[in-house]
Amino acid sequence: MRHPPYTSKFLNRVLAHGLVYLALMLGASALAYFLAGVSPRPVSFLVVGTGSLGAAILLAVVLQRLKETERSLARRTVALEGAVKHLQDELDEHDRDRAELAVRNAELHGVLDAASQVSIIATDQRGTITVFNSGAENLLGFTAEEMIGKATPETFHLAAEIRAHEDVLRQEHGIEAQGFEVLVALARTGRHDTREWTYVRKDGRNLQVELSVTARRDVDGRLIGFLGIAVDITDRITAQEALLHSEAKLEAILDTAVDGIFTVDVLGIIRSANLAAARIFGYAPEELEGRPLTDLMPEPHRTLHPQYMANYLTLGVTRVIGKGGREVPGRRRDGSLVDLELAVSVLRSGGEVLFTGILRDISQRKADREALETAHRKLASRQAEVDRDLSMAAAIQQTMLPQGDVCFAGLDAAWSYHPSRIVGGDWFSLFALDGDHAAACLVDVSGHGVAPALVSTSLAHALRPGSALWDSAIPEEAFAAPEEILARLEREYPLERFNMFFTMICLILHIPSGRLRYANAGHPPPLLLCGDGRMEHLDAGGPMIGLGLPQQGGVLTLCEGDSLLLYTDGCIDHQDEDGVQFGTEGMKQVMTAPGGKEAKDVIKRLEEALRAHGASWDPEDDLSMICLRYTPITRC
Amino acid sequence: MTLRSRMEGDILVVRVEGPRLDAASAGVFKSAMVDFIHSGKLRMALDFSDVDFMDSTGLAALLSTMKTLGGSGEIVLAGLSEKVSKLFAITRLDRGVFRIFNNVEEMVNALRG
Repeated sequence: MRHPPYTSKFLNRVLAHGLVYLALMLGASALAYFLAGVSPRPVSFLVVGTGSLGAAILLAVVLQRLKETERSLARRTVALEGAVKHLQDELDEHDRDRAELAVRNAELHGVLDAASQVSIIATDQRGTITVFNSGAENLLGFTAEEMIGKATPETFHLAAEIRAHEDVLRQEHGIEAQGFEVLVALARTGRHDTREWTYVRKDGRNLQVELSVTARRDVDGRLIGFLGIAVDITDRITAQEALLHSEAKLEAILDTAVDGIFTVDVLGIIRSANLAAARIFGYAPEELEGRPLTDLMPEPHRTLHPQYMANYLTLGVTRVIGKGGREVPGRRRDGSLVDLELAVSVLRSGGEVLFTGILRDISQRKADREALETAHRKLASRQAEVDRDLSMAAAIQQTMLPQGDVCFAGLDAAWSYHPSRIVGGDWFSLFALDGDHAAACLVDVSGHGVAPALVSTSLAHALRPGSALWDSAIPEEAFAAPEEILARLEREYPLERFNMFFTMICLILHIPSGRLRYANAGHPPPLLLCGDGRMEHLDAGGPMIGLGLPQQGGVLTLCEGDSLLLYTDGCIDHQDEDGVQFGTEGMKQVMTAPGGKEAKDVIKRLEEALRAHGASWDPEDDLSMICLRYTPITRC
Repeated sequence: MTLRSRMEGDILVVRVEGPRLDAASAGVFKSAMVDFIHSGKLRMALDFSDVDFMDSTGLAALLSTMKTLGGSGEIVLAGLSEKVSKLFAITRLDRGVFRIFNNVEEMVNALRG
């Protein structure tokens, strides 16, 4: 027990007083008894009796009182103890409440301060700031210390905005208010008031906020001030503006796009279309929106399209979606057809399925393609014509070659002619100049194709039998010397004339004697395989014709069984896969190889060897060979 | 085929770069050579070290260049491959038509001398 025992103390005091009284009473009795001794006895007895009685009564009363007092004291002590206990409980409760309140308060401050991006400002009725949380400090740049008790929210509001809002309040709500009151006028009337305001930060920068103002009231509903909660919406506004900007940009892009772009819903209704799409079909953009897509199709698609859609939506079957550009026909407003390239993709947007189509008017492209195809067909037919002409030219050129094996009296001849193209610059001839003389010419005009072929044709004409070109200038000879023939041609065909030169071998054989005169202008030297197996080169010669340089001739006498091989450089240049040329050595080997000795046998062996040397028989140069075998006693 | 040229004194040394001087490259070769002549380069040393093959069209281009030059200058050759040498031999162009040397140095010295 923390408190002293009041009741016992009091009782002790009362008992002490009683004892004092008793002592006093006994003292008075003793005095009376003494007086009685000294005084007449009756008086003494009376005094003593009375005194004792009085003392007894007094004592009884005192005792009675003492008992009552003690009981009352006990009762009051109990009550008092109850009261004290109650008080103690209340005190404990109060302590608890206070602790709880402190916790809550701390929590509240924590919340207020934790809301570092939310400005929470409370004011009293007149607008003086009473709460300024850390969010408000962050947003506005003022400290709570600078604001609380010292300023009103007008400090950081735009004065012009407040004045503008005065008019709004007046016109829309019939409220007259100025200054701070403008901010709270609606809240004061119990209305919810949230709107955008501009806060001016301490550093002067402006801030867009959304501010909610509510009235603060005590438990009895009396207005005690206002609470303003504001969030920074600068970013939101920026984002909104960016969104608007990007939407505008997208629209601009869509509308400047060359391709038509549209969206269609699952019912086949056009939901949006850009300018190009509208232009392609001859509508205004707003006319397309809401229109069935089938309006833009010719039959049979117009009828079948709902089925296409159903096939896709139920079975996933499609011939268009996700298949890249497909050529489809479109139908313009006026009913005319337009060739389109269409690409469709599926767009799932917010739970809705939309089809996006991109289409391009390919009428021009198609027309161009058709024109190109027509041109190509024309070109192909012309090419065929040229090819036909070339084939004919080749056939004609072939007619200028000796026909079949030629067998003069005394000369067995065979040849091979392979132009690298249909026509070529190689040409040769073999004919009788008269009863005793045979002439052979082998010509190779530089280059390949038509132009050299024409030059060789021109040469064939110049060298035709009976031409004055063969006429001898001196009476000792029946015909001109081969080098003289070359010199005459040199004058006719200078390099500048056709920008071509030619190599040529010309020989004239007197059959009865075997006397062979020859000249070689830039050709590989003819090979002579003698009947006894010796191999010789006919080395006399000069450069090709066209340079205006002097030519040189040679003379020899053939023996029975001698074979002469004339060939163009294409034969010795002919390469295998490794670039190895057939060469003069190759020609010699084949000529001396065992086998038939007749001209056609030699030519056949050479052809086979050349074919075997180059795996693909596609010589780069014209290949021509002539084999002449001197057999004066043979009669054909 | 490209032609890379440089001057050594008054001699134009031209390196013919490309493995073939044939119908496909003869046109380029000839027009470049004629341009050299028209710009006054009359003494030309052609280095054929890179050229493996020459056909009659290539040869015609070279001869045509020589004819354009006429008698007023000279074209000398060096670095002829085996095939090209053979072509010059067969056509007897190595017998007084073109002077042919083993390398550029000999060729330039001969033109200087």
